[in-house]
Amino acid sequence: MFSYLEYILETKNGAEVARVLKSVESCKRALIGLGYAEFTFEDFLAVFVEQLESVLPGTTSSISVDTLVDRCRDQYVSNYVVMFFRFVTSCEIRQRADFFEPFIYGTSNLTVQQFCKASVEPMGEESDHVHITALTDALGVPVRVVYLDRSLGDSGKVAEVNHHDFIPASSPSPEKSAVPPVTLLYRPGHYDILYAK
Amino acid sequence: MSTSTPQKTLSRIAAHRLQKELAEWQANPPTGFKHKATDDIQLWIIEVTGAPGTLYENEQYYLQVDFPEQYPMEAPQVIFVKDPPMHPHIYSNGHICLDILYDSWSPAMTVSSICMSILSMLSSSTSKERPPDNDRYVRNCRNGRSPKETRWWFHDDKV
Repeated sequence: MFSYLEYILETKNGAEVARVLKSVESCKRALIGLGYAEFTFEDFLAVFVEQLESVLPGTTSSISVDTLVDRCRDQYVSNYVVMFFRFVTSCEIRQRADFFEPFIYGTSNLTVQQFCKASVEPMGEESDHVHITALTDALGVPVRVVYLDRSLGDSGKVAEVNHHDFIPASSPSPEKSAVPPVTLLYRPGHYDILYAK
Repeated sequence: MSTSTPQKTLSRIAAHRLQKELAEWQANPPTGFKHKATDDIQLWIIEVTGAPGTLYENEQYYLQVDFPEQYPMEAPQVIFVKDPPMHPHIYSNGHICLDILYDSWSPAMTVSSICMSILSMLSSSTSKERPPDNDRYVRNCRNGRSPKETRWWFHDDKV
């Protein structure tokens, strides 16, 4: 989340904020359609939108990178945004249950409903391939995940690190081949932000 | 008997959320449950009526729902007060062995959804008895320990 907001702040990409706000709006409608009462997720949604608006370029409420760091380190802000992403992820998985079902059943033996209840919606559950795919698709934000597993890289050299790009299906084609704005280093149980040198 | 912790003030966002939840409950109460008005929004007493066609048909029980400062990020403490129903997952001190109240709690849940889970747990029971480790467990909770401090082991999802 921080990396993405920082990217917007640095690139002053107002159009991206507008685009994500639209995705958020359609998630909201989808959640209601799935039977979630609005009061159960609106506070979480509001905290995320508040962060987005604070990085919007050219407004009086724009904040500095330092302020952004402080905000993202605030437990309340961080937890509420994470929980909002859990709602979004769960919503995307349930909406495209046919697509996700084989992956979920193949790795966990759970139904889509059970998986969302047990492994997506509670706090502290780890985010795996299925979760990242759903979240990046729902928000339309590409993410690259780099992992150090000593397997052979694309060119067959061990010294190269492996990565996997999560490119939302909705991305326009030039973006599909570009390096995603957010790169994360996978360490079991945790993801760190990586910056290009 | 009360195992409620000393009252702390709710965070602003928690208070706001609870008000919305209470309003929603009043407009749309779950079948079989009645909210007993108290002057404290942080502590709800809910009357439960056993569902027709089950072992608890027409019996009345009382749930106490105690909301923490960081609700709904943190689960509420839910226990039976007065005479807890005889059930293989309900201890005689009112503590309930139900995963969504502890490890599997999600801020996406509500008091209403907890109530539905508890009613379904009661309804699927085939015998009115206490958990096999009731005496030991209750003894260990003597000084008013909250069930949220228990490390629960959820072993049976049939009942």
